[in-house]
Amino acid sequence: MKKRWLATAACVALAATSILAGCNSGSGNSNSGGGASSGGSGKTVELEILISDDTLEGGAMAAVVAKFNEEFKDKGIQAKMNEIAYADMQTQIQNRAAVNQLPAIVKLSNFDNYVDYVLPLDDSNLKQEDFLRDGTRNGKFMATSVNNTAVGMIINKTAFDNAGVSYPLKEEDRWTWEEFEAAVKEVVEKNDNVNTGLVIDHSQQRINTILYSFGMQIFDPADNTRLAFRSDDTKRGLEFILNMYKDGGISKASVGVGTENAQDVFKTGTVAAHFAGNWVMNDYAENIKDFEWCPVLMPYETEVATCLGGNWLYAMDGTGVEKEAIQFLEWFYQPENYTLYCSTGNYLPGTLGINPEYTVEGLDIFNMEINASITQPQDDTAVSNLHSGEDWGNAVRDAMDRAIAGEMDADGIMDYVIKEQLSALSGVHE
Amino acid sequence: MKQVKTILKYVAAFGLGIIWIFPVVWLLISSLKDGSELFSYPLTFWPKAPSLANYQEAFMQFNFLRYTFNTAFITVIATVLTIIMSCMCGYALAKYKYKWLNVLFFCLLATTMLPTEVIMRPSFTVLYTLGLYDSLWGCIIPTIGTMTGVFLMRQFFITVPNELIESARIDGAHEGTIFTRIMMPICKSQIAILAIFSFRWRWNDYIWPLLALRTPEKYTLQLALRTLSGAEAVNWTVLLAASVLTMIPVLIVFIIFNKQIMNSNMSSGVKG
Amino acid sequence: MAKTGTNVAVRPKKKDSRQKWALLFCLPNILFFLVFFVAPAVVGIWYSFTDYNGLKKMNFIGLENYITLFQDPEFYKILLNTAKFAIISVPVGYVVSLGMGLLLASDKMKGSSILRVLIYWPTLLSTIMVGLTWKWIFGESFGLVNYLLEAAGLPKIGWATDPTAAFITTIVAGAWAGCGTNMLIFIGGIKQIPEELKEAARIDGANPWQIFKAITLPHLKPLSYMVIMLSLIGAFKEFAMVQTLTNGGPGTATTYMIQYIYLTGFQKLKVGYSSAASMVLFVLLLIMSLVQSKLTEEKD
Repeated sequence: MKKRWLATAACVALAATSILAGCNSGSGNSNSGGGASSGGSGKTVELEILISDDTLEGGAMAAVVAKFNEEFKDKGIQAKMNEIAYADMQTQIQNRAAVNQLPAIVKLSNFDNYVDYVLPLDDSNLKQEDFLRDGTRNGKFMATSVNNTAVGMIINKTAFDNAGVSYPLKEEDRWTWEEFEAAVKEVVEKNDNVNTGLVIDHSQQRINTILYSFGMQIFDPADNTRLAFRSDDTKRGLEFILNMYKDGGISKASVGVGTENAQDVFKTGTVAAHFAGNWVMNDYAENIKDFEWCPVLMPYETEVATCLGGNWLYAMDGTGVEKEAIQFLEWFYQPENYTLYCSTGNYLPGTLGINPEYTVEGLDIFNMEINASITQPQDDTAVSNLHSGEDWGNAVRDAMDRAIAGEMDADGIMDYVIKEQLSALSGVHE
Repeated sequence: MKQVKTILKYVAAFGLGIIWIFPVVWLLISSLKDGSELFSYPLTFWPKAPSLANYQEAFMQFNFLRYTFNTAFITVIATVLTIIMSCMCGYALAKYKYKWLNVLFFCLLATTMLPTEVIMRPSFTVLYTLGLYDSLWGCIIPTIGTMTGVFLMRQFFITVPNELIESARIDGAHEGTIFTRIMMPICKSQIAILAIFSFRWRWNDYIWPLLALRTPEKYTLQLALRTLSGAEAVNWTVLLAASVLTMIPVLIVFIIFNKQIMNSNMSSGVKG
Repeated sequence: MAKTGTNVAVRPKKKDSRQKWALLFCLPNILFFLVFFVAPAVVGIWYSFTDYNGLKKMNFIGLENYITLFQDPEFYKILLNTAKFAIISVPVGYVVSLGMGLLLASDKMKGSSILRVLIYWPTLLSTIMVGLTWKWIFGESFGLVNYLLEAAGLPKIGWATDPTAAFITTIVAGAWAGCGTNMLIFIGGIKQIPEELKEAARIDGANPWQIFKAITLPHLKPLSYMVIMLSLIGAFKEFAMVQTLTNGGPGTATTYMIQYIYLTGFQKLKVGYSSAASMVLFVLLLIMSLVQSKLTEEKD
């Protein structure tokens, strides 16, 4: 009996203290983006930076924020990172937008969905011209491309060397897709422990890159209201991909349908090549010790193409700390600070004119890919930007999933994608 | 013959136990491997160089103490409140016969049919209106009216003989006393079960913390764990180690309450 | 009370006070029901008639979401997937957890306490971890099962690419993660059965199977009803585990209802549309449980 009373008393005490604690913190800062906490030496503005994946990618933002806080110790601004899961970003931004408690600054791969809440940077000393990707919407400069990502090919170097198969590191050696198929087949044949030619990330960007090399277009360059996805070139590309997943093909369906992660499977060392993005190299550098790997140039068909993607860094409107947020962004892109950011995270910079040193080798291959690529992917992105906030999701990838599982064929994929585009985008036609 | 049967029973039980626990053991073993060995093929069963490096890394990356405190706070308070509410409501639903109680039962049952995942946005609106946003109470209050708890207690109280209540009424006890003095003590094992459940629900919950919290200092373990799965990459080594660590408190609670379940026995309650 | 009320002379005033007590006992739950269920549900119903995207856009569009939903062939396919999952996973889960409950309820059995811990342990994992754990077992390329099959010279199984195999993985992982919970409920119930009843039956010469059928099972009826009801609803709501384990694939073979709602609605910013789908799911589950209750009542 005594025991129970003790337990009850403990619970009550705990509850009471926490109610007090809860009230205390609840009544405090109602403003989220920052908040002026009056310390002894005058007021300090707190800048909240909402971010995901930073620790996972090497803590680049954390390093830069530490530097910022050191330099701005006496200037009344302190930045504070709020790192959450990538999957939770959308929920948190949406909810905080609804109650007007947005963070001061956000780093995310998307800002079009929230474009109504983003603070235009036209009054800052940052200029769109300095950035490689277009962050301008409706004539206003909204978001800075904080790092670029490019699609590329990474091979199991040990397995290729074992088999005596050469791989392209210079533009003139670039494979065609057919040559690539032959090459990886040979690697699989001559290595006992290698049983798969290629794994492709479960990603629309990866699939599109292959399709672009077959001449696919998403929007008609001559008429940007016409959806051009349905074409003979696209169909050839789709059929080529689907053939890779059929029996006797070089690729692995369990990865293609998204159940297994290409990165994990490549790490087993049983795969000749991984059609990936540059960011996997951090992980590979740390977690592959059984074999050597390296990025090589991607195969092409009629065109050489890569899809450029990446993250955006932008400030939010209506937080009460807009001025300080812009100050942070301006400081962030000073060459010294931005170089620190890119080299810590092994990021491809989103601006011209800085030369970060990387801890992993081979990133220059991705820059070569970016420079060699046709402009169609960029042109399609530009048209998509006109439809800011109208997201047609991952229709190509979703349709490809179903096709690999045998639920549809190449024509079915094109039907599916066009249907999704027509329902999401306004003012377009086929 | 009887011996053979007993042996068979033991073999079946332990076989099942081993099969059941194996995936978790595999997880434990994997958490001792380094990032390269984790994915090496052919698989290695026992790590070549078992190390606690992943655990070390997990402790360095996370403010474990803070997150554990937040999670424990939410879990303990929510569990206590859940038990009290579920006992009261379950008892009323089982032992009083009024039309409106049947209606109430169905209303409560309906709450299980609209999971929070699909009404996140409206739930958030309610949460915010009540002033619970960005407070640990926002992860507690919305969850304590759980149907499963009420259901569990109701189904238990149905099996309690009515005579027990009637004789107490004849003795002049009023309804509140009957509930606290007679009913609560005999449902100890059911309370223990509910405590285990509630503890686990709240400990592993991420939906309400995701909706209710926005300040890093208030985040829970599950929210922190989720940051290890990124847009493209997953930090497997730390994720495995951190998952094992977060499992331990719930395991301890289970072992404590498991004893409760086993020691209680209703027939003694009825006799007494 | 109807049964036993006749024994006691009940004055109307007494009765009223009892009703007040009943109301008092239920009051907190009624309040929470109104605030955290009815209020969000009403807002959700309102959303389902709009093209709300979770941000600024919100126009009333009438029944359009529902019409689109009912015209989408994929919706029916996913409903069928979900029903299939429920029909198989609920009986499997019930039988396994009841069996384990019977096996482990007895104190006489040595080590039953440890076994309970072993079997309950998996339920302590978060749903996402359950998915990940089984990925290591059922992984097509680096999973343990395929590794052992290969080592034994047998062909590997396409856990990720064969729809049936993928379906089986979701059933196994679901049962594994859920059975500990139900086992515990059954153990709690079995412990409440007065030992004298069984003893009397044993003296009368009943064998264990007869005791189970005549005493244990009827005694566990209220709990069985609950377990089946909650498992059924749970099966229709299965989400995070399957999402991690199979990603709904191959294709849409293991995509179940909540995942469909979540993906079409949440990821594509169609909050209105996803609300409509949620409401349809809600109504379906409501009908299902009403039917089940009616069936149980008739049997009584």
